[in-house]
Amino acid sequence: MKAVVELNNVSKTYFKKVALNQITLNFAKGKIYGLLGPNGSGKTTLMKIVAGLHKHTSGSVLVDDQPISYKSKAMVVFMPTENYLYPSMKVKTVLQYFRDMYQDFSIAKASGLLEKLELNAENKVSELSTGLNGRLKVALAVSRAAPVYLFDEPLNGLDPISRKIVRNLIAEAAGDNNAVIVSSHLVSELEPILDRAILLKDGSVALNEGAEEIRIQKGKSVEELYEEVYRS
Amino acid sequence: MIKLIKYELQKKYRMFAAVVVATLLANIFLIVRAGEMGLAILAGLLGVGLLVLYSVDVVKMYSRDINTKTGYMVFMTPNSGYKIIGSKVLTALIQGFIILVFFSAVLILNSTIVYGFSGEIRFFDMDISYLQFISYVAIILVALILYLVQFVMTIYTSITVRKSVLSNIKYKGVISFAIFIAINYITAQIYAGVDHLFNFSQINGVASPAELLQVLLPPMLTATALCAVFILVSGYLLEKKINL
Repeated sequence: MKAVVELNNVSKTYFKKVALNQITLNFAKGKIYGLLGPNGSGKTTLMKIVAGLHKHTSGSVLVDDQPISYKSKAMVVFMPTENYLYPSMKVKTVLQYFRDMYQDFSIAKASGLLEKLELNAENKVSELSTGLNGRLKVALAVSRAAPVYLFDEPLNGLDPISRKIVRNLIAEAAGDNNAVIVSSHLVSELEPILDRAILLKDGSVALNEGAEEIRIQKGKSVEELYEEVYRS
Repeated sequence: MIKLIKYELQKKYRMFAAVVVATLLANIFLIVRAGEMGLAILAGLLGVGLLVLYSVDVVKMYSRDINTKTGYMVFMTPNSGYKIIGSKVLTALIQGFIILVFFSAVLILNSTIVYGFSGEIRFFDMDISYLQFISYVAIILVALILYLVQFVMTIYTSITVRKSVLSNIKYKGVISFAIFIAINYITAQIYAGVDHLFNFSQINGVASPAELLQVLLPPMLTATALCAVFILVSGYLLEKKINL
């Protein structure tokens, strides 16, 4: 299947630090990709480049054959790990904001999810706990119908129940019409839903293999392989 | 762009409400305590206060979005850099006009309360009609708002340069400040050139509203043109070079 996101020799430097070094990766629809690696390995930088929030220093990035621009942002859902929602907004206003800004956002789906995730539409974002904020961010992301989903450390700081809910929502969002890319260093939590594992180390691709191949051919879990790569 | 402006203005309603309540309380206090003098004190304090509040708020509107993670709410949306910066400028203009109307209304109401309704208003020791008064205030404040927005755009442009082409450079803060100074020096030279070209200071005595407009129109148009240039530069940088 043709890739919906294509990175070709992409590099990104900050001052003298190389955050991404000649990365070449393709992401196809119908798969969930795990972008794995410890802090500082380049996961967030890569996602922010695809989301159009960072500019790469060299190489090319295409989303559905288009270079990164405001147009590609309509095709990319990015859920940052940070609390990026306006704290003074009520949850219901955030939903209206997303409806107004993104044509592919379903306010009906998001409203349904609020109830399921025990979120009160009348609450302000600043009043939400970390777990509820994480749930809201994922609910907003999966209520869009885009060809590319990027979830940056979606399980960070969440309690076990919220982690399970978030993981299930991500799995449910995946389909034949989209590519889902999830970054995390909590490999064991994410492993059950991954189709492919991409391990980043110091800004380079250390491994890019199917999760099933890793388990069958190498006789290891993704987590075991992860530990092997980063211990060496 | 209208939707972006809608949410920008929505974020400010609390500030507007606080200004109205504070003005009302200060108004009652000063007029009761100092009468006619209180009216003059209030006009001065309110004018300066609104100007400072407006300037700070308009700069914060952009710097907060570009320097904090909540800016993702705007920059992740499929709106071009030009639209984003354009929406900020239009919001600043709308906000300025709301403040202008509010300020004029307070002055007229106070004058009516203190002097009664006579169809005229005391303005710099002159008795002038309400219409004339509104004309003076509108021309001066529109010119002031345009100049302020142009000045704010020099700040926006410097901030944008820092977060884009200078984002990977050491001492980016110092360099962007130097760029800000340089931009303002150049704009000052442009205003001086326009002033020289139209030879403003030819009106003697008290200018009528029409004469005042004639004097202020060239710098107002210059401010508008400069704003357009800064919007284009900032929009391009937001679109092509930004690193949030």
